[in-house]
Amino acid sequence: MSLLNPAGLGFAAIIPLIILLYLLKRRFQEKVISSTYLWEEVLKDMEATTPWQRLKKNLLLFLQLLAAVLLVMALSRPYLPVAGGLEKQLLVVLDASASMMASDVTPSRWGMAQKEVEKLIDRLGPGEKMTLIKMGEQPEVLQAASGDKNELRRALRDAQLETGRADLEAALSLIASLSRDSRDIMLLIVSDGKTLPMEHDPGIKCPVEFIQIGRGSDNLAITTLATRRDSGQVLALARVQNFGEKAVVSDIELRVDGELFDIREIKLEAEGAREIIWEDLPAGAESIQAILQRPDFLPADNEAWAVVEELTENRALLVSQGNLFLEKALNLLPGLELFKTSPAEYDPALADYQLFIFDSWLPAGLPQASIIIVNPPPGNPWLAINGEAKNLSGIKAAGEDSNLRYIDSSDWQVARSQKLLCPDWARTLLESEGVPLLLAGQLSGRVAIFSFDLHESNIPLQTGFPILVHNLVGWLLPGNAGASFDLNRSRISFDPHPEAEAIYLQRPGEKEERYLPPFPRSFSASHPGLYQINQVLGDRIESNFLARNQGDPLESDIKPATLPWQAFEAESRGGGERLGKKELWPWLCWAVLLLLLLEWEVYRRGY
Amino acid sequence: MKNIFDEDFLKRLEHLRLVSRKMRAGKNSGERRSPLKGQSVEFADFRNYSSGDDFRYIDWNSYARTEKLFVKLFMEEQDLLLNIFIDVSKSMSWGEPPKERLALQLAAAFSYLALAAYDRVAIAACSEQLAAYQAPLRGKTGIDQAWTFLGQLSFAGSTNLNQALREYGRFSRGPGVALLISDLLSPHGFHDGVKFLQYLRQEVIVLQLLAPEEINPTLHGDWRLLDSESGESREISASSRLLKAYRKKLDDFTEANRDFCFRRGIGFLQVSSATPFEELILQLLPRAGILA
Repeated sequence: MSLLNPAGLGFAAIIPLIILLYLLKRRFQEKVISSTYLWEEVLKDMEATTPWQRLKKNLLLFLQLLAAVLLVMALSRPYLPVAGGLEKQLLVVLDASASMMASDVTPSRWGMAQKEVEKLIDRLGPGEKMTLIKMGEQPEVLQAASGDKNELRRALRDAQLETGRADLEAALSLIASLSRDSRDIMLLIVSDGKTLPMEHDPGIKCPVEFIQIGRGSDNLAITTLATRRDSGQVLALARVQNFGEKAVVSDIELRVDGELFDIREIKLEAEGAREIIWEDLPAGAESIQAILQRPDFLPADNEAWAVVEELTENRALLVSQGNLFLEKALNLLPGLELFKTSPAEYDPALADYQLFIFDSWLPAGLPQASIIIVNPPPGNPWLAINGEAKNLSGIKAAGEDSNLRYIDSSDWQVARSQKLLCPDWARTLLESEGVPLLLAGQLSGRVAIFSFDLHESNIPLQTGFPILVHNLVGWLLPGNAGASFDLNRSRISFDPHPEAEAIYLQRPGEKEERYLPPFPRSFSASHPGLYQINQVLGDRIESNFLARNQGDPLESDIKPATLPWQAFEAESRGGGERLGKKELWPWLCWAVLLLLLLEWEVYRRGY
Repeated sequence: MKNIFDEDFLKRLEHLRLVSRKMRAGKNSGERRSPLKGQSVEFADFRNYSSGDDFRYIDWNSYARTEKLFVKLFMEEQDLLLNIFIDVSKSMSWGEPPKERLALQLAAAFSYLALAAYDRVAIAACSEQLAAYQAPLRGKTGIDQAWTFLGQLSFAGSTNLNQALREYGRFSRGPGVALLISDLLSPHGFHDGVKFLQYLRQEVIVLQLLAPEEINPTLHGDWRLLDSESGESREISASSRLLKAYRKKLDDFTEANRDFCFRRGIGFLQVSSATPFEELILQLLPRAGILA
């Protein structure tokens, strides 16, 4: 117990004053009685048998002194250092990031944080409310302003630890919006201090207290595991970091497609890092796994997976004097690497492209690949041209075609177009007033033909244009365009293949999940490991692997830290421990009141 | 003092008689039976004739039947000496009503009753010593004298009954009844004095008079109590516990006195000075066997 106002103890001077008053007060009234003989006998008896009666005789004085002492104590404002004292609402932020998995405290940082919050719940007084917020990658309100302890305990119990980072700023922004109009709020952050750095101060006005969880820092982590194909050779690179304060030695094991490939012993200085490179991995390797054998406080980041990169990238060559519209639309396509050249520099020997785009120009011989021809020049050997058509509108689909999915061409207009005669190897996709505008067909490869210069139409400005290009490229390069994955920490963003009929997701250590259209666009990937996504495309299955690793320089560095919050730090230093004080003066005042009542009763009874 | 009793009350007093549990020998024939057999009309017993006996008392009828000489014995009636010892210390004038009032009334009533019954009455006033003494009076003519004596008594000084009673020894005129009227509140006590009275062949009756405030004090708060006799002071904080202890002390004191008196064959009665005199004379004293 400490005092907020030690100067209040100066009021203790009132105590001798009371005694003095009491002495003055004890002025005896005189009374003549027949004889003091009996009284003397009585007093002699009482003093002889019960010496403490002398004290009891002054019961009133003692009660008054006690009341005075309590009053002086109340004036000095004693308090007990507790978390969440007199605030009406307690906002509790519970760190649920990966570093909270660390077992440097029993049972774990997360378990300890839960216990701390449980204690706060137990201490919740009547009329006080608690809001429980989980701080992960996204802040999550577990329980909003509730005074129901059971509800709060249930919410706390049901809270799941995440495997990502803790975004303090997001959590504080949420709190700032929650607490904007409230008063008597106190913010309590239960964390190991490992959060994303803050960029903006959220402007929180209420008192803040930080309960730091965690002690140790011993952790070894694989923070990077990557593969590369280099002229037919597969290379693997692992970066191992020691976040502890001691030099350590550990074995690192590399597995290729589940088979043990190599074990090496590595030595790491305190807070040091090392890169390990493996060469000559099997060319057919699909995935690799690296494992650190040494146990530490955070085992989750002792393993890492990587998917061996495949040569699935398509290369496209745009041969044009300059066509910004096409360039933009093609660059949007995932899995397509666009190269540009001019007709003058076009070299027919360049065969390493899967897609050629010839804009207002055609080479002497067409390459053996997929081709988009825009505004074919007259007199070419493949397409016959029969004059020009002008001011074409009311463009519509010539027939049902998957290339025209999601496209509304009714507002499309073309200022000038060549009148192509549709060759028998092609079919018309779009036409206007009988003039074919877009053809698709099969020569040596798949070919798509725009009959007009894109600059002489409003089509590139229409929302349907990139979709049309996407559809066309998807048709021209089957099986490559469309599906893409992106692993953003604990979520897999996913663009399913347009042709996909079903998707099977295999999470590490879990059952395979089957999805049917419409497909979800993202999956949670909370557990580190290898994720396999199988897409059923007609009679074939396309498999993709994704590696989700726990190793993260931010979360693997488990050494407890203070919060990266400038305002908080400043307050902590300047204001001392201004928070979490349970002031006792109201209780003391109640005690004084009770004492006064008691005193009155004692006086009434004439003790 | 005469105004203490009205005529009607005096008449009722006349009907009361002092009884003494033992019959005492007296100097004059009176109306009281004496353990000595003597000349009276009341037959007591027979005994065998022995030479020298007054043959006027031989029962000739018995002689005729049994041819043996028997002498008739008669109860001798004697007068009684009532010694009234009245405590005239300052403490007796204390209380509401004052104890002295009832003390004087009692002394007056007893002397009236005794004199009306042709007994003798002596009155002794006691403080720290024998303050005044009225020699034995006799007959109804003594009533006025006795009352005058009582009327002239002043209540002052401290109490030492032992000393006062011892001083009475000089005036003692043979056996009798001794009535002690006092509050008995004296550190010296009264036991030795009473024992001395018994040595003087007195049948002792003790009447303890206490004021209501003495029996049940109603003090509250802090008091400095001054002794009316010695002037000594005593400071108390009158708590209910203290008052309780006082009452307990008084009870113990009374009980000890009663016990002492019982063991020595002494009549004892504690009376509040607030007790109506009529109730005392007509009910309490007869009930205690002091008056018939």
